[in-house]
Amino acid sequence: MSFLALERLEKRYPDGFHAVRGIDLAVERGEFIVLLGPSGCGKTTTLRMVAGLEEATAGTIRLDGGDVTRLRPSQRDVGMVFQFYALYPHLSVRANLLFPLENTGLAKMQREVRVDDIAAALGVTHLLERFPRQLPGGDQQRISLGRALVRQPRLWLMDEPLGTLDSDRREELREVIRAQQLQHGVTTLYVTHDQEEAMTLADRIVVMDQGVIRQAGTPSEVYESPADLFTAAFVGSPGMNRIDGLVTGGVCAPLGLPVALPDGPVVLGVRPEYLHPDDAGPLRGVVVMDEYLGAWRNLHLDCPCGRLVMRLPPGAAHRPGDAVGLRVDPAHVLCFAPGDGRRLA
Amino acid sequence: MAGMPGTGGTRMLAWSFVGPALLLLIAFNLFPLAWNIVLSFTNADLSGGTWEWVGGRNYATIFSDKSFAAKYGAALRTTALFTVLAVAIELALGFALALALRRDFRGKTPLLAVLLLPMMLSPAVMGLFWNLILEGTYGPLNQILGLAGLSQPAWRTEFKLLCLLLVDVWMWTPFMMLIALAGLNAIPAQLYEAAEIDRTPAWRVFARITLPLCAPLLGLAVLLRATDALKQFDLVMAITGPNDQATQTVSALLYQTTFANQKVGLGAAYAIVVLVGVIAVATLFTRYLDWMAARQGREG
Amino acid sequence: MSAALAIRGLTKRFGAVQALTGVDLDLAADELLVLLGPTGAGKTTLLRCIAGLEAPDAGSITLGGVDAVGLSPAQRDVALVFQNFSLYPDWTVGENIAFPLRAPGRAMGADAIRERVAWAARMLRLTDYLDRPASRLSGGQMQRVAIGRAIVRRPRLFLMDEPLTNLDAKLRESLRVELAVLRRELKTPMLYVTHDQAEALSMGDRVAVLDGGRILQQGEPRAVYERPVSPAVARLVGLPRINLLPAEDAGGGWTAGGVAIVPRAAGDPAGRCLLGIRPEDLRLAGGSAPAEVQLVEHLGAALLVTLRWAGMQVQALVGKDAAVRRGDTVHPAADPGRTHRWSAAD
Repeated sequence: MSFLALERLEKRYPDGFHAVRGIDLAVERGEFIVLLGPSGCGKTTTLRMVAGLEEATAGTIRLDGGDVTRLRPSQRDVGMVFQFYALYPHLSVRANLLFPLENTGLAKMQREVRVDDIAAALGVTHLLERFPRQLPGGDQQRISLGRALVRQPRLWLMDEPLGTLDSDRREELREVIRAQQLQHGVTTLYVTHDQEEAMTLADRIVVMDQGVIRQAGTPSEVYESPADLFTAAFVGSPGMNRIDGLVTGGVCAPLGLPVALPDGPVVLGVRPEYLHPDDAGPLRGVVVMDEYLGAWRNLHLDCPCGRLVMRLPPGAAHRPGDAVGLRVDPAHVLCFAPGDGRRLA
Repeated sequence: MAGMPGTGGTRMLAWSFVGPALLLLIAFNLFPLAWNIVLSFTNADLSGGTWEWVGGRNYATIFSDKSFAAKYGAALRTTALFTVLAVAIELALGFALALALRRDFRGKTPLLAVLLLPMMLSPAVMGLFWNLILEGTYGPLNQILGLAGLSQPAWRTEFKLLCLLLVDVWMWTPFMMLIALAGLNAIPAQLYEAAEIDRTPAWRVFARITLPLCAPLLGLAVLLRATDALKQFDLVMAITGPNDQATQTVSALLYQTTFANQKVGLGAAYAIVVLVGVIAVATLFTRYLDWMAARQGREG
Repeated sequence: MSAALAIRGLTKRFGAVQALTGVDLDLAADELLVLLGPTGAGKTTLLRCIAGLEAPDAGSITLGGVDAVGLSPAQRDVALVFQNFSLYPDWTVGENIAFPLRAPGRAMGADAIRERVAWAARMLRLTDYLDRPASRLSGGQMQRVAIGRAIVRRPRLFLMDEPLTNLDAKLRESLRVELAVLRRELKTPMLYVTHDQAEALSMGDRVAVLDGGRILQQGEPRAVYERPVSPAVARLVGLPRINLLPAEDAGGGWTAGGVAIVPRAAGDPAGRCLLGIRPEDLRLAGGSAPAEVQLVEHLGAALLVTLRWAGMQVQALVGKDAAVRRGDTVHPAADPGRTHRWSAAD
C-alpha cells in the first residue's frame, strides 16, 4: 500500500469555484512528487488539503495507512514551506528553527543539537542570531526549509518555494532541496508552475490543469510521451509544436507520414528538437524570431500550419523574413485527438 | 523624492499644500506655547491690571511652597492612578474584544459600528449624560439596582474616581479595540498556518505569535491613550467639578489655579512643568517603541 | 543620426552604498539593449536615472543628442514599464491604455485617441478585452496592457524594468518573443532590464552585463556568451552555469586537480589560471581521467550531467540520447578551442 494516497479528492469553494475535481494519486515512501501546472490549476489547493489547511469537500487522504482527511494540520505530522517564507519576524533565526521543536517531548539539549545540525546542513549557521527581515530572500527560504525539516515530519510539503527568488538563488536552492530530500529520505510534495524545476527535481511529475490530473509520470515519460496536448505544450521549453493534420487512407497531411489511424482530422505534436532545417522537407516557414540562447537557439517560424519552433545548435543566425524548409523526425511525431487533445498514437 | 530635479513650479505647489497647515500650527500651537512661557515669568492674573516680571518666583512656589506642593502632589497621584487604571482596563478589554471580533461573522459590521459609537461622542456631553445615569436617587442605574433588590450606593459622592474611570473606559475601550484589530489583521495568515502545522497549542500561538506581533501597535495605542488620560479634564469638569479632592487631576488643578483662583502666571508656570513631564514620558515611550521595532529588524 | 541614448561616467551613491560607478552606455536608434545583472547590481537605479526619477551624482545622460540631466521625467519623453503592472484596477483596458494620451498638454482629439488605442490593442492582441476592467485580467494580459500604455504614446525610448519577472514561467517564455517582435515592428529603441540570462541572450541586439554598479562587458549576445571578458561575466551569462576550475600550468598543458585538461595556447596567462568550460562544451568521452556521474537531470531536450572529476564538481550538457546513468564512470574531455582562460587574479 502506498505511503500517501489521494482518493477522488475534491475541493469546491463556497462561491462555487471547483478548484480540485476528484483526483487520485498514490505516492510511495521517499518519493519526490512535483505538482506542476499553470496558476489556478488546483495544485496549491491540493497541497493545502494534504497539509490540512483546506478542508476537502469530498474524497479521502490516507497517510501511512491512516485516514487523515478530517484531521487538523497539527495532527498530521507534516512540515511545510511557504512561497513567502512565513518566518516569525519577531524571532531570531535560531528561535524560528527551535519553534517546531517546542511542541515535542525533546529535551532542551537535543533540540539545540537538532537545530545546529539542520543549520549546518543548510549553510545558515552564521545567521542563527539574526532576524529574518535582515536577510535576503534566498537565506530566508533556506531557514524556512530548515524549519519544515527540523521536526523530521512524515511528509515535506512545499508551495512554490523558489517562486520569488532570482535565477541564481533558485538554482542554488534547488540543489539544497534535492540533497536534503535524498539525505532524509522524506516523502515530498512540491508545487510549481516552472516545468524546468519540475523536470530537474521530481521523481514523478503530476501535471494538473483545471482541477484534474492530466498525467503523472517520470520527467522523461511526461516529456517524451505526453498523455494529451495540454501536457505536451506545458512541459518543455518551449513546449511541443502542434500541427493540424488530416488523415486520408493511412497517410497524414501535411507531413506525408504513414499513420495507423482512421480518416479524419488529427493534431500532430513534434518537439522543437525533432524539427530539422531541410530545403527539400515537407514544411516551409518564414522566420519570425531567432532566439539565441547560448548553448542552442530557438527559431520561431510562421508556417501555413501555424507557428512552429525549431531548436538548433548555436550556429549561424537567421534573419526575420528568411524562408526555411523543414523536415520532421518521423519516429518522434505524436498524434492527438483534435477535440479533447487526448493522445492517439 | 530627494534628489529629484525640482523646478520653481513644483516648489510653489508644494508650499501651497503645506502652507495653510503651517500657518494654523503657528497660530494655534506655537504662539500660545510661547505666550504661555512668557506668562509663566509674570504675576499676571485674570482681573486684568498690570503685570510685572517676577523671574522664577512662580516656579519656586511650585517646588517649595508647602501648601501648593501638597495639592500638586495629590493631583499628580490622582492623575497617575487614573491613567494607569484607565489605560490598563481599556487595553485589556479592547484587546479581548478585538480577539473576539477578529473572525468574520454575520452582523460584524453593524456590531462594530455600535461598539465604536461612544468614541464618536463629545466627552463633556458623555460626562453629563453619565451624571444622570449614576444619579443617586433617580438615576436609571440605581433604579435598576433597586428593582433587583440590591443596595443603591451614592455613586457620585462615594465613588467619584470610580465614576470617572467607568465613563473613560466606556468611551475609550473601542479605540483600543480598533487599534488591536488593525494589529491582529496585519499578522499574515501564513504564520498561523505554519504554527498550526508545527503542532503549536493555541495558548502558545497567542503568547509567541499574536501578542508579540501586536505589541508594537498596542504600545502605540497605550502611548496615545496615556497622553490623553494624563491631561484628563473634561470628564472631571462634567462629573465632579474641578475642585473636588477625590478627582482633582493635574489639568483640573491647573484650571482651578488659573481661572478660579485667577493666578494666571502661576498656572502658566505649572503648565510648563507638567508639559516637561509629559514630554519626558512620551520620549521614553517612543524610545521603547523604536527599540521594539529595531528588535524585529524592520527597515525604515 | 545621433544615438537614442548616450551615458557617460554615470555615478550614483545612496548614503554608504555606491549604486553606480562610471557607467558608459550607448543605445542606437533602432536597438534593443538588455541590461543584465543580479539583484542589487544597480540596474533599476540606472533605469531610474535615465527616466529622470533619480538624479545622478556625476556623469551625463544624452537623449537623442539633447542633454537630459535637469529635464523632468515628463520632458524626457520616455515610457517606463514596471515589474508590477501598476494599472488602474477599476478602469477598463481601453481607459488604461488611453491614459497617457489624456495627459495635460497633449491635447489629442477623442477620435485620434480612440484610433491610437485601437492600434496599440491590435499590436498586443488585446482588442477583445478593451472594455474589460483591468482587475479581471490574467497576469499576462495585465502586463500586455501595461506595455500597451507605454507604446500608445510613441515615446522616443522604452525603458523596461523586469516586465516579465512576476509572470508564470510558461507565459514569460512566450511573452518575451512577443515583446521582441513588437519592438522590432515599432522600431523604437528599448532598454530592457532583467536578471534572466535567457531573456538577455534571446531578446537583446546587444547585452550589457552590470554587477556591483559597474558595466563588466557589453556586446552582441553571442560575443558576450562565447568570449566573456571575466569569470564574473561568464558566470552571469549562460545556464546551466559555466564550470570554473582553478588550473596550473604543468609544462605545456593546463591541469586542474592533477588532471590534464587542455594544452596551453598562445596568449594564455602564465603559471595559474581560472579555466572556464561551458557545460555544452564538455564531452563525456575521450578524456584521460575518470569521473563519476553523480546526477543526471532531464532538461527535456538535453540531459544535465553532474560529475565528480578529480575532486571537482562539474556539469556537462549532453544530448538526451546519451546513455549515461548515476554511478557510471566517464572520461570527460573539453575542446581546447572552446575553453576560456583568465589569469587567476581576475
